[in-house]
Amino acid sequence: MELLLGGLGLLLALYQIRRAEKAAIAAKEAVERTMAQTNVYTLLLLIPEVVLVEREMSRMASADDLDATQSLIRDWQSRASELKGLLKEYGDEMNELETKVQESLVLAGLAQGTLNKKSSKPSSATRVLRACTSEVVVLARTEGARVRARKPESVSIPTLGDDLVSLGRRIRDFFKRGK
Amino acid sequence: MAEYSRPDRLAALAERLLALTKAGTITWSEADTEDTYVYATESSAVGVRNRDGDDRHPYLLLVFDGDGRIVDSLLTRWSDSGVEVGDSNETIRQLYELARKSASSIDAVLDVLFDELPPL
Repeated sequence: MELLLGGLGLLLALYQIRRAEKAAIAAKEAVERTMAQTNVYTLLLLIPEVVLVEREMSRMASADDLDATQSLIRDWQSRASELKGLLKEYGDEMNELETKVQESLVLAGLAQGTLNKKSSKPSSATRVLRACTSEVVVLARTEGARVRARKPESVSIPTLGDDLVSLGRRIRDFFKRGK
Repeated sequence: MAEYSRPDRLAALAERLLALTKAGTITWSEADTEDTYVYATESSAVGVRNRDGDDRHPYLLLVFDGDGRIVDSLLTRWSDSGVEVGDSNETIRQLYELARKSASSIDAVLDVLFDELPPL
């Protein structure tokens, strides 16, 4: 009888430890899911901003407005850097977009350098940059649509019933081993 | 990873880029800055430039960080008497030439042109 009670006590202690572990893992997973969802929302909000800056940059450059073009290039650099940071969360999935964004950042820096010398018109100093940012916009829209269309991941959280079934199995296994 | 000094690492980078460009594994883009070509990866980028735009030395290999800032560079070196002194001079010159061809699709244009020319 003592052995039985001792065994049950041990199992109960193990169960409580396991339960606490599960709760900690579930909390960690919940935080990760929330972070992932926040990243998705930020990405989906950032894409239209990137589109707007690209459109405005094309308009300003073709009007050869130096100050406005320089300011919009800075806007592009800021948003493209943020976009690149978010894309890292997607691993290899968005490589092409990530590389194109990186290329746009380099071209933006070089175009700023050219514009600072005031030796060329904004329309010619940003020709290649604008072609690149257009490509970024097309890719970002495609990827954004893909992310939006994705179904939310289903998460299975064990219920108390699951835990009781699992505990029952452990008790059965314990007595089987004891025989 | 092998231990290199910083210029040696840049020289090794130039060699690697040259091999990859020759093999057609990587392609370069033209930049708005004259005589500059760029190849980007997901996290950084490199550029190659003919500094004076005269298709002669010096050539410049540029390394960009994730925000597009130049973080390192390697300039081909020439002595005052015009004698070549830099070990990577030829590599960077070749890299520039191939990057320019890659960015401007010269070969593709020539292929189409040959195809469209009337036979002799």
